[in-house]
Amino acid sequence: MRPHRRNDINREAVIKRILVWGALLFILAVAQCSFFTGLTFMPAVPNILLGAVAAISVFDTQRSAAVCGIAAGFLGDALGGSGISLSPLALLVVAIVSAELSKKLIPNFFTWAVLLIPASLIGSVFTFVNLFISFGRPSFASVFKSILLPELLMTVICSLPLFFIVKLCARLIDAKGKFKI
Amino acid sequence: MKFYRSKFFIICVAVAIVLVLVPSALSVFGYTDLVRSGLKTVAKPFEWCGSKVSEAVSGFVSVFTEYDKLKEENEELREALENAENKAYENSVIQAENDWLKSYLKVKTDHPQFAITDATIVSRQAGNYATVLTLNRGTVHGIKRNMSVITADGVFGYVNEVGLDWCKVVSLVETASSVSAYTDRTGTVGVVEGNSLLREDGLCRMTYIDASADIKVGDKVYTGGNGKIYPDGLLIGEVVSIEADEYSRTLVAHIEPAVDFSDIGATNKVMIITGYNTTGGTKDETSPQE
Repeated sequence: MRPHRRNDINREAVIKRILVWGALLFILAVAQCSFFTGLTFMPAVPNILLGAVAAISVFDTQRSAAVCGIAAGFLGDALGGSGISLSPLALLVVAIVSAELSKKLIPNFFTWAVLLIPASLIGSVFTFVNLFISFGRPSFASVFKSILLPELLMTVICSLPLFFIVKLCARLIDAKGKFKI
Repeated sequence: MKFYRSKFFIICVAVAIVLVLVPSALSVFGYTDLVRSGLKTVAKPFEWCGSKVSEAVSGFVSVFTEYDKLKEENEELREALENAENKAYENSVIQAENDWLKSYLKVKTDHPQFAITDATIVSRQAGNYATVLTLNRGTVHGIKRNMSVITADGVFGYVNEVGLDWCKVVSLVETASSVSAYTDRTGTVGVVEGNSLLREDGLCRMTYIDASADIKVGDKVYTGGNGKIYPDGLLIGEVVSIEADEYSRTLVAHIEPAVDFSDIGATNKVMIITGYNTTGGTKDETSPQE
């Protein structure tokens, strides 16, 4: 009876995670592909899915973050991507690196903001690789100035509030991350 | 490090690679997988809502971000419009002046026996139908009473009062105006005079027409040159109606003057005949009598 009961608890926790993180990532993917792409005054579309994965990795386990990274990448590609896309792999890397870094940080909002910078940089690296595959050898300087830097900045800025949203969701599923809920 | 050696991690990486490769390959070959297609369909209404909210936010923000740009553009356009309007006005003035000079030259060519001075209307009698006007020419310009005033269209009136640098002109339709006239078709003679009732309609009348005279609507009427004001052969106007005089056995014809007194033209210019020679030779500067 005892192992059976433990499996039930795990299954319940997994279903909870799938529902909560799934819903959150879906909403954010829709927002990224429709709301943020329509904001003409912004210099670039922020990759808020990247921010969400980074946030999940600090509030939940590394396993959850990895699965969420793959799912978020796939969702982002499915709703807004076209052609060759590396998002599932990119966000998996973001999830793993963020989870590793969060173990070394004091868990608060400011360290979260700092954590967003390497996470966004990983995203930028994958964006450049994507551009390299799609358009041959683009000039790094011009790509950095016109695409990578604006995207990085907007991602960091727009992902800051995700700290609180993901924290709220983490409470629902009683997540066990490094950052205290 | 245990995590990176776990089956779970390897599966995750494998799934991620598959999710990168399969959709990319399908996309390269022009196919769309069912999962992506299904997701897109489910997300469509949400995306529509998101884009609407985004449009609203962008519109609101653009009020602040594009205000200066729009203001600057507006000022530039306003300035350009003002310049264009000024240019159009200048062109219209030049055009009007050109028309006036053409008409002046035509009168000079058609009537070489006339000595002509141009004058500008500087004021009008108050009212919708101005019939007494003030010109910017007076005694210093050689203007005397009873000199005739014309335009390229025909007879305008005569000088009634003269000052140092101004004169008043009584138009053809004014009751104080009277001029001997004839019709071009049959040579029927009469006197064209102003009438207080007809003046409101911009008309005058030709009286003392013999009851048996051959006159009909459309006949052109010219000055007879019998008086001491108007020279012979200037167009007065056209017959618009004919009726029998109530008090005598004569006819009365209503004449529509060739000159439109309510619209002299943009230049507001007329011509004063300061002298004329009836024989067509040299100009006689002293023909009009004071």
